[in-house]
Amino acid sequence: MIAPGSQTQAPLFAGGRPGTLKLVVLLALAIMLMLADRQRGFLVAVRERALVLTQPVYWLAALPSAGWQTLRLAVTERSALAEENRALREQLLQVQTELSQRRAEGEAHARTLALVEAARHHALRGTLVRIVDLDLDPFRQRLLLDRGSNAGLNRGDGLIDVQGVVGQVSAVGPDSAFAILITDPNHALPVEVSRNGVKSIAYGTGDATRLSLPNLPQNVDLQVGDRLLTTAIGGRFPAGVPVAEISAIERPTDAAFAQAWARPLSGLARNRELLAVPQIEWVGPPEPAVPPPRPPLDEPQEP
Amino acid sequence: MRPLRGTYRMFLAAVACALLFALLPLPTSLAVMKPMLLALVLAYFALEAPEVAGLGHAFLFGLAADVLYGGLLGEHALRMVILVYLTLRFRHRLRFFPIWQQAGAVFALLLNDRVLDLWIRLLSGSAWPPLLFWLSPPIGMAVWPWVFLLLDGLRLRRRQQQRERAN
Repeated sequence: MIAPGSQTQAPLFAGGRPGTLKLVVLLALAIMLMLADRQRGFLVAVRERALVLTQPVYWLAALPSAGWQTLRLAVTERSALAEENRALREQLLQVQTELSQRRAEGEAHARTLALVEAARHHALRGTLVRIVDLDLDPFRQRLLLDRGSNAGLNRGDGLIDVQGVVGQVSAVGPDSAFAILITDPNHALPVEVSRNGVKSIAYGTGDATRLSLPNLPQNVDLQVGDRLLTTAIGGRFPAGVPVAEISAIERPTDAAFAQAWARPLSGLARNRELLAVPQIEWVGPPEPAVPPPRPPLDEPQEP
Repeated sequence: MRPLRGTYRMFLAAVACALLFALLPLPTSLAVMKPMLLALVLAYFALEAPEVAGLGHAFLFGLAADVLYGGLLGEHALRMVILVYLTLRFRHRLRFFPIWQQAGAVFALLLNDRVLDLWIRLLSGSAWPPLLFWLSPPIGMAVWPWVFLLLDGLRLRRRQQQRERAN
C-alpha cells in the first residue's frame, strides 16, 4: 500500500497529532459563518454571487436527468404522448372555464372596490420557471430554479403552481435562483380563511404535509376543511391564491391559545413548472404625515 | 514533489465527483439513501495521503458543498473539519485495520457526522428529521470498501505509471 521513499513528508509513523489550534480556528470560523447566515440577508448577496460560479456545476449534474428526459421522449409511444396531450387539453379547458367565471367575478369585485376608491388592480403576471431536477438536500425544503435576474426574477418573488402557493425565491443569480417552500420552518405566510376572512399566519413545519397556525384565539371560527388563501398583507403574493386546507384544530383547555394545522394544496416540489409572480406594491395605511417642525424653544419669539 | 502533485490532482478530481454525485437527482425514496461520498473521499485521503487532505482543505470543500446545496453556510465545513480531524487523529490505528474493521470505524465517523448534522438542524429551527435520515451512515459503511479499493487502485496505478515514465 505504501511505497517507501515515494513520499517525503509522510513517513510511516509520522508523530504528532493534527494541529489542534487549526481545528479550533476553523471550527470557530464555521460557527461564525453559520450564525451570520442565520441573520437573514447578510450572506444572501454572497450566495447570489456564488450562483454564477456554481451554475456550470448544476448544469453538469442535471445533465443525466435531462438526457433521460430526452431519451424518454424519444422512445415513448406516440399513443402515450397523445394520451398525455389529451389529458392536458382537458385540464386546460377546465381551467379556462373556471378562469372565465372568475374573471366575471373579479370584474364585479373590481367595480365594488372602485366604489370605495380602493381599487388597485393586480393582474397576475409572472414568469414561467422550471425546477431544476437536482437533489439539494432531501430533508430540507429547498429548490433550485432555472431562471434568474436575467428573466426578471427578484428576491422575494412568490412561486405558485396550478393548485396554489409553492414558496418564495430566496436568492437570485443571473440565470438560476434558490427558493424555499412554504413548508420550510423558516417560512411564514399571512393567510386568510376564505369562508369568513379570519386572518392568521401559516408557518412551515419542515413536514411537507403540514403547515402550522399557532396562537389562534380559543374561540376562533375555524373548521376542518376551511381553505386558506393568501392576503396581500405580506406584499409578496397577490391576494386570493389558495394556500392550504385546515386539517386539524386543537383547542387545549389548559392553554390560552388554540392551534391549527393545514395541509398545503399546491404540489410543492412535485410540479416541475411554476409561475414566479413579482411582489406587489404594499397596500396598507398611508404613511404618517410628517409633523411640521416645531419652532425651536430657545429662540426668542418675535413680537 | 511529483507524486504529491499527482495525488493532489486526484484528490481534487475525487472531491469534484463526490460533490456532483450528491447533486444527481434520484427518486425521493432513493435520495435519502445516498451515501455521503464527500465524507468518504475526505476520510480516504486523510488516511492515505494526509499531506494533501488537511483541515484547511476539509473546510474549503465543506464550504463548497454548502454553497452548492444551498444550505446553511458553514454547516458542511464544520462537519467535514471534524470528520477529517478525527480521521487524522486516529490515522495510525485506522490504517492498519483490516478493511471490514475500517468500515466499522467509518460507520462511527459517519454516525458522529449525522449527529452533528442533526444538532445543527435542530438549532437552526428545523423539525426532527424522519427515521430514514439515519440510513445514510450504514450505507456509507457498506460503500466504504469499494471507495477505498477504487481510490487505492487508481493511486497505485498512477504511481506505477510515473515510475515507468521516470525509468
